[in-house]
Amino acid sequence: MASLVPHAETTAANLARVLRLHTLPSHRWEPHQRASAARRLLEELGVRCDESAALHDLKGFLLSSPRGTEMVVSRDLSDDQRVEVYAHLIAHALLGPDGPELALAARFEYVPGRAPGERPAHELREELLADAVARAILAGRLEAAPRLIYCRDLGPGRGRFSRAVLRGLHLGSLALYRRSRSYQRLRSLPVVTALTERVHSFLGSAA
Amino acid sequence: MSDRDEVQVARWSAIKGRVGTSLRELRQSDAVIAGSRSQARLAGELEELGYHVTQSMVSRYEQGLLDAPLTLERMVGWALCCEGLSSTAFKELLALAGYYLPWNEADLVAFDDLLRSYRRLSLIDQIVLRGRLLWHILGIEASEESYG
Repeated sequence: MASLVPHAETTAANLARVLRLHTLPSHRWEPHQRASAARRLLEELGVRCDESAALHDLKGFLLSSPRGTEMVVSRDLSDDQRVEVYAHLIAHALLGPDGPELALAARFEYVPGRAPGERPAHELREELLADAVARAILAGRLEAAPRLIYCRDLGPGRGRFSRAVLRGLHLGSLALYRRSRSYQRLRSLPVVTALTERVHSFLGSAA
Repeated sequence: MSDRDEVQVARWSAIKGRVGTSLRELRQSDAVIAGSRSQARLAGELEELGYHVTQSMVSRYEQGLLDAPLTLERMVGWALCCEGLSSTAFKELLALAGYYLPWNEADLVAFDDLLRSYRRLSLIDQIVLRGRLLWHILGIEASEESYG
């Protein structure tokens, strides 16, 4: 489990749900209400949020340690931009390390054009993937991203064979998603999302 | 002088020379990367963190001449201001001051990565990040500190 944010999977799922609810015509909220709701949710789930920082190169950053997790966001951002930063940082948390918790971990969200020129390749790869996952969160459709990103436990399955097939499909989907922007777009189409949900339900249901 | 103060003073007297040398080396090793950070600039950046350490104090601490103990949080703040800082140097400095940093190999590598990213930021961002790092490393709010 990623250790950048406590219960990152739950946090991502809830953030996507809140953002989806607020796009419904019957519940349409103003940007500042969406931003407040996102912040409130994060704080309820144990993430300290500070929206008052004077930042220049960064839109925000995430710091995590045994003392807690905090997201610091630039005070100059609009409500929509704040929500985007939160979604991005949560996406990073989903993609974060699987290993034992680090004593100190950080993720930075740069202002466009102000990111350093020489960033490590792994950082750039994670950034591209986080972009796609953040889009899924912001659209309120976390399921538009491969399931292994937001739910590592695939469930019991119908049997050993179907469980192996299911795991293979999800791993393949994740590998494609990491490498191909076209697949990211394809995977986010509602019809493809529905199809993958069906396949997962069929193979993943306990017998 | 209370017993506790005497112990603190005796402890500081025993380590102040080595702490001063370490801090000077951290400041001067900036020269390799971006030109040596002046004592005045360091004092200014510590001020930004909320610590009143004058240029003259920086000089005397580095020479091991000041009898007033340098608090752990100032030491961490000082180290974070220096571009020569590495995870190993950081751990050694804190060990010298009697603070065990419970970091394993992966933590040290992650901290070095963090330092690399942090140094590429503008000073404005670095100052905000330093304040937050103080909390995460020591559990101390930058603005709370006011003594020593």
